[in-house]
Amino acid sequence: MWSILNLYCWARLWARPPGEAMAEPSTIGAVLVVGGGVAGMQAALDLADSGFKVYLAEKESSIGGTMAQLDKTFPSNDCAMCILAPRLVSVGRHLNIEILRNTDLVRVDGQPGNFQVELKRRATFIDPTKCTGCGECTQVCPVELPNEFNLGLSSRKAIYKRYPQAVPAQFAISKRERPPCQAACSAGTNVQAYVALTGQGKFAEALAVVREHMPFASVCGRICLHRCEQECNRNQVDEPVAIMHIKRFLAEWDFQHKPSLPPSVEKTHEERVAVIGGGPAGLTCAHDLAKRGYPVTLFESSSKLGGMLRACVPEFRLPEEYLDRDIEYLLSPGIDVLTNMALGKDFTLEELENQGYKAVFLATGAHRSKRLPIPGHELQGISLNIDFLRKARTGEPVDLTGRVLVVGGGNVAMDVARTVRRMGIEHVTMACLESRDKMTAHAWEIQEALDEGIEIINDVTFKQFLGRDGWVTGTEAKRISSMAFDKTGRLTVNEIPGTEFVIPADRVIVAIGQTPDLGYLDPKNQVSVRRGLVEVDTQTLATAHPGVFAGGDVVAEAPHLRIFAGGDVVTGTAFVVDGVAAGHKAAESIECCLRGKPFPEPKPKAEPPRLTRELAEQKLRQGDIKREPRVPMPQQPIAERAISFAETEIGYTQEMAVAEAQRCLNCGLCSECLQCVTACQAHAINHFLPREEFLSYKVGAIILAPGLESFNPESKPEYGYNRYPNVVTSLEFERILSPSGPFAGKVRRPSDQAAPQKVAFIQCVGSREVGRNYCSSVCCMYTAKQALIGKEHQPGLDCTVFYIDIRAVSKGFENYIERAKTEGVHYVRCRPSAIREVPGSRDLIVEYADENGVSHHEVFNMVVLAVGLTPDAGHRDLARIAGVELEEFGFCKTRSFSPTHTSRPGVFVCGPFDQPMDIPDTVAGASAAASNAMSLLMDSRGTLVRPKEYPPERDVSGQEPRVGVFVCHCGTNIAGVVDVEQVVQYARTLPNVAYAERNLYTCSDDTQKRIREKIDELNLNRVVVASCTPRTHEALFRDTIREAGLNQYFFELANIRDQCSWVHMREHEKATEKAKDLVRIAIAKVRLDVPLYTRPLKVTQAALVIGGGPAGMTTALELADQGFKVYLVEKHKELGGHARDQRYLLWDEEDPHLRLSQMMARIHSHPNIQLFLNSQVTAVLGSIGNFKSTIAIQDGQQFEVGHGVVIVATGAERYQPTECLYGQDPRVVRNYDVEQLMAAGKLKTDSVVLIQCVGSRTPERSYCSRNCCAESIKIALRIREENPVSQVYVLYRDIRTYGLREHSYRKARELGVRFIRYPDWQLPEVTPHNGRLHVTTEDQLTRTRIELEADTVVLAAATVPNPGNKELGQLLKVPLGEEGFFLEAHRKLRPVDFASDGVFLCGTAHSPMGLREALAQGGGAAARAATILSRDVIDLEPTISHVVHDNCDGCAYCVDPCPFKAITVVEYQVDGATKKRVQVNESICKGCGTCQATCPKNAIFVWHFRPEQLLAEIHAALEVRA
Amino acid sequence: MKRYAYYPGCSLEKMAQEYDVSFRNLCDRLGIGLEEMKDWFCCGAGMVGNISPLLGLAVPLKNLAIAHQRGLAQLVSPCAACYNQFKRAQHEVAADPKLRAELEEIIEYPLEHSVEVLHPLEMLERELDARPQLAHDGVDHLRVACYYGCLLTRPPKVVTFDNCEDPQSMDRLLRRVGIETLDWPQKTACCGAFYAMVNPSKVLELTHAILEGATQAGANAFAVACPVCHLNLDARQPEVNQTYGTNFNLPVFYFSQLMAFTQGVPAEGLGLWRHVVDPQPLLLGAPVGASAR
Repeated sequence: MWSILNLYCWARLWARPPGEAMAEPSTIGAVLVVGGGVAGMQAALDLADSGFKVYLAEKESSIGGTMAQLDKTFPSNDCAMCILAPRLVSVGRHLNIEILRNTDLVRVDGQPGNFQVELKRRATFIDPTKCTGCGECTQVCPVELPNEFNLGLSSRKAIYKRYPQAVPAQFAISKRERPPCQAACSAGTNVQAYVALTGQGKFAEALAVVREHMPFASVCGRICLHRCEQECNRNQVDEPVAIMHIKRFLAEWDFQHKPSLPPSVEKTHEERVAVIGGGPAGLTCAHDLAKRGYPVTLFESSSKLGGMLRACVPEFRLPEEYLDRDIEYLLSPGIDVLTNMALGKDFTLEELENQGYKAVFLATGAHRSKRLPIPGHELQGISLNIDFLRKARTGEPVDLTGRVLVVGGGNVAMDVARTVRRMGIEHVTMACLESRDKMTAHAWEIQEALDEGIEIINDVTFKQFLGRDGWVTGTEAKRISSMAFDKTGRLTVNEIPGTEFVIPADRVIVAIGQTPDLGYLDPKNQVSVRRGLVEVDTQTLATAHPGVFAGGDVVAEAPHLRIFAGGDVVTGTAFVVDGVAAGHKAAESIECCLRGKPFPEPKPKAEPPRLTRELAEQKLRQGDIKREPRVPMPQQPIAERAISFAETEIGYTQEMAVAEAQRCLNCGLCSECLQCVTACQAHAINHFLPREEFLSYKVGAIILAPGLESFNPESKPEYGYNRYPNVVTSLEFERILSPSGPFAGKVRRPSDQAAPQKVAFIQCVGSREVGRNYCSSVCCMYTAKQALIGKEHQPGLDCTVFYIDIRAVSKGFENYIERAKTEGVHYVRCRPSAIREVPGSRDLIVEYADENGVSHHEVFNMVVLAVGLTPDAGHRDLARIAGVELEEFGFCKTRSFSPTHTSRPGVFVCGPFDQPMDIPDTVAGASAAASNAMSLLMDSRGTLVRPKEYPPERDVSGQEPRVGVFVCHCGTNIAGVVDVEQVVQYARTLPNVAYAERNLYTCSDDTQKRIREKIDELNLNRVVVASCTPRTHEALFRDTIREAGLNQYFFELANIRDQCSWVHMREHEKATEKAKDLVRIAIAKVRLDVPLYTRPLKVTQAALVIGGGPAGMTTALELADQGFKVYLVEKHKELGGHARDQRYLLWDEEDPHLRLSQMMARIHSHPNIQLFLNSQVTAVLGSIGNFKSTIAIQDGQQFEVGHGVVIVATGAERYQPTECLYGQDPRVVRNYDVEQLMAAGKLKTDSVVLIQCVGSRTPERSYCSRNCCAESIKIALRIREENPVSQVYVLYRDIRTYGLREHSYRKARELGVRFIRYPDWQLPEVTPHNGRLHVTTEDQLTRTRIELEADTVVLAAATVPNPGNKELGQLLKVPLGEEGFFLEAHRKLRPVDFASDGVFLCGTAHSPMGLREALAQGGGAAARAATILSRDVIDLEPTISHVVHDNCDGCAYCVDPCPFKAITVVEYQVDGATKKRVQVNESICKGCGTCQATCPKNAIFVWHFRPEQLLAEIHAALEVRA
Repeated sequence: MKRYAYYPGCSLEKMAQEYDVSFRNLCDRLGIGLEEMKDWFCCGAGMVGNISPLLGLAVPLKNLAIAHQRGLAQLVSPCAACYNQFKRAQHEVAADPKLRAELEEIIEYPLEHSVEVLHPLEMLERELDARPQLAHDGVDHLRVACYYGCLLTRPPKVVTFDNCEDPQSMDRLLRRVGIETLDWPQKTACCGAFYAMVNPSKVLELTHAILEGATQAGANAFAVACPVCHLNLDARQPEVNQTYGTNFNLPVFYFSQLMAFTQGVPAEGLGLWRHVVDPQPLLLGAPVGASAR
């Protein structure tokens, strides 16, 4: 019943009253917000809610920023995601916020008010209008990658959503360039994809991926030269993935299971194509073309298909039945095969042309053996490789005896030699020109040959064959020193004189290569031949046949036969994979040619992602990669091998193949296996979108909210991060604690997932050090939180925090730290020097010295490094692109009086990019930046926002309910468990159901259209959707029926997913029954729904600002600049508040006095501001949009003003110390007063002691006054600068210079200011002594008593709440916190809002803070107020309480429980008697229903949840189904 | 062939002869030219700088001047102390022009052309960077803890070599020749060094911790690159065993001995007989015969 007021309000138009002339705006009413974390979201919502179009650019695939990764938030221990998720949804559903994910800013041109911005968006490969976020795709994705959201502590798929609640809810795909294996394959086989699928056990899918490019799966799994493995990045780690063995396994799996082959493809084209040659190239080309619907005839000269594979590859390398299976697959699309048809003998090209063939692919291979033309080559007993292999394969008798010499060193020679060996010849010798390492045979082949007893002679040339009686007896050979081929392919060898020797042999087989036999070519075909090979265009494989490609005109209308050629006939002997590649290319070219399309341009080859040896080393050390040797291929024993034609390698088992495939490093991230495309029933995935696109927008202002990165502690090797697995960063620990994290919220350490007993936290890692001389502001608190939550998750967990200073600087923080200490968290003030790992246990030894100087070596199970926030290269790039200046550490340069303005006008900044800050400061700053943009763009407000318009509402009163029921499959989220069809059938049987159907995704755009159509067509007047949760989807469906003319409250949602299929995923039948129950309940309720209407409330477009200090003045000026009327009430006689006393600023040369005077002058002269000095607000009536207040001036005058919002900026007071002689000795002054004295030259500064925490962090006031450390350092620095001989001491408990204030702390130390830590709870003593002041304390560093002589003692007196807060709080009905400051609506995300709508706060009324922060809050409050003031009307929810007068007797039971104080008791007269009843303030009521639950008399209820409706639901729930 | 000036220093002449001989043989095997400066003299490590800081700087710089005079642009200094001495002297003169002028006068040599000083680890990594796979035979059984000690990589701004908290150069080199090296926590822990003179029991305590750490990590040998590290780990092992009742038997190799072994330098060329903890059973499977001596 809770609802967010604004949720439905954005639909309202910010239209001006009709008739009012509108000047052409000079600015653009749109804003670019860079960064989608809490800051960016806040700025975007404030702007969009007040009439501006917002482009929200986020570099990740979803918004949410770092906060989404946090577990809990301090100091309330709220779940971070629970408070963030509603905000994510608000941003995601906002009509006027366009989220640009995966997007970076690349260019900014133009002027403030009128910028032209260019952004680069990296493709997600998902169509956002179609993706429903169902997640089916991740189920099938085979690629596991480190999950960045969990900082690599768990894995995710390549298609992913960053986190479950991510907005936008759509998925994204991580891609890189194609991996090296794929790039290395000439056929383009998608290696990573089939390896990944094999790793998942999806063998059929994997084989389909192989065959996509490599139809010869069996062949290539056996005899490929696997260039892919040479390029495999695993080479840098251990050994390449055994890609070929995996492919072989897949083919064997196919062979064993023989799944049915793809059906034949219908021939949709007329053009006949002839493919000549049934080897790898020809078959591939024929296959490709047949698949594309071309009638293809394949001519093969021999009796069987397979070409060289069948003719010559020996059985022990390629068993015939596997080849047959591959060919069976290749022929599956339907190819006419004509065997025993030799070109030139049985038919001619001319005949083909006459028969109507339109294209020919010549792939006749290279089947003629090369001869060795040396003397004696004609001797008997010398044979040639191909003849020999063919005979061996077909079983024809071969003539072998005695010693056999094989001449040649290539693969074919190797096949010959090993075949000879298998034919029983003991003495086999190979001899070749090449040296051992230059032989073209594979190294493993050489090794196996040697293992089989084959002798190999290298580096020899052959002079002559020797013979006797006409039979060969041997060869005369000669040693050579080198050999080389020149550019033309000519061989030169350097013989070594005098090294002739004889290799005796009884038989010789020459195996020095093969050439094509081109005798069939008729010269009049004009297919040109060069060096014995067919000449073609290498891009298209087209021959220079006339009429076809003359002049390169691809689409020439020539009637001639087009001739292409490829494979060995073009290249000479090559590998199967090259033949396949040629076949693909020819098919592509033939299709282009026949269809008259231009040939595709050769794509520039992108460099595949390479793993360098250094990177591999690093990843190994980090544990991202593990060394795992490849799964060895089982081999036949050598003894059996040599005599057998059985395969030497036995092949992987299923388990081996899966294990080997899992070694893949997924170099390309997404493997493009396209499983997700098949799984996505919404057809939302397109892998072939351009990888990036450029977007260009006109915007009036830019807000930079990029957040910060966590410091990477790898650069501090003494802590061993990424070297010792149990040293984690604080963000990693946050994920470990998170229930949605890697260990489901259990405290576990990464090395062994054991529960640690002792955890150390080391503070300031990457902060407060040279080069990063700033404090990250948040780490002290988050560490306390992590220790507390850790102890909560695992009672007894021993936590030790090593820290320098504890910086607990906000309301409730000090108590939070105290709570941590009370609950047993140890705090040790020390920065440990090193961490070492204990070998074996992987525990960690932390070396540190305690406060007494004793050194310790303590063992912990786990160490958490509290890493700071840091700007990185990305921030520098952003600053350069946006044209804004950075300060020395890389933060955005801003000034104290303009904390959200960058150096470039019109570009604003918020969040930690300004300087490290906590969430509330970030959110307030984001609103302030939004306000700055609003002021700049005031004249274009409302010009670019899109209003929503609806058709007139249908009157259905008096009609019988006609309910339409839409039941969602949610992909398989619901349908996988619940029998959706049964639910639909059941719904149809229920009373008043006029229609029921089921949808794949009821939330998809097309289903919305369908629902509207059905409402019209069937005259439906009620709608029930059975799907997911109202939290995310109710607004969508309400909107849909409203668009169809129904009242939006004629709608109910039955949650059959989150509350049914997800929780009963193993109980299908029961879940189906429960789904029916839920649908029945929803129908019972919807029948009783009545039309309800939002209540328009006219807004008085004026603001009341109470308090004229810096915060209040800022709010007043911002709102006035935006064109709103402002009543500014200040109780004193002048503006400025306590800031008037400030004369100096920390790290800023600006004169605060001057800047304050300028602000005051602007207020006095601003036409939109009415200033009331010496005044107080004495009465406030009304509520949001419509307040009436009374302002009383001291002189007795009273004013009544009407306004839409109130801003409380009443500031705080200053503590009047009673300690340290204050008030007794004039030389003891407060920090507030000292600047005035210095400026007037009235301060004696030869020796000054500043004492911190006077009145703060005491039992009475436990909070820290936040600003005094920085203020005291400012004073100390000033004194040292003005009086260099002065002695300045700061006596402190913790120095709390958070953020960039830290820099001044260091500067003060460098300038000789002495810092002495005094004991907690023991303020130094100040006594008069010899005309000076004597300050004594105990120095905690040296544990010695210190006595200081001082001329002046400055007390850092506390900031205390304004005593008027209580009264004002009652007037405005807003609460105070325990410290007495005002209490905001939410500590983290609503820092300047009150829980009551329309009332805001800022400045020290909120909590102690510095000037800069007060100014930021002032701006923030203005933006929040503007979201209301910018509307003429606001719509209030109708689902609020209603009092039934007849039943109410004014018992007032409901008054106290109302959390919003919306109910009051009123008296009225009936027949002279005074009666009582309650009354609801409709603008305050939120419809929570608490009153309805407390009323004993049925006298108060919430609309849409009327008692009869609830009863109907209960009856329906209890009803026994027929 | 590029040639490096070779500065063995006094340690490698005497105490660490096995470092010297194995390093020279390794370079020979790898085709790296070393040219020993005939007229080198003391680097000034130890006490010289205590007596006269200026002399402590002049001595190493004079040695470098000798190298420069011979036309050698790079100098290899295997002893961690010499190496440190050279680097520190160069660092200090680079930062202080006045000091530089003063020293130029003392050593009578201009310092504008500085000789690049390299530790063998640094030099070998560079030399081997572009080379193909190196031989790695017979070392499958070694699990080596590389011990860098305190001096070699510190102070980081002076020696500008490797990572002083987690040095890796020796590990990388040994892994390139097929030797498994371990990640262990005391790579740069202090061995006590010259405390042996004033507080021997402290040295035993520290050495014991290092031996313990390496053993826990699963090491069966050490590799070192500093003569003093070698001395404390190797020569004091019996005394540690006696004092702490342990029975460590971890051979302590100079990394150059292990690398030379894998590259085929015969056992005679490694100086293995000079060790206290006999490394021969581990490295060779059995002690080599007397002929090796």
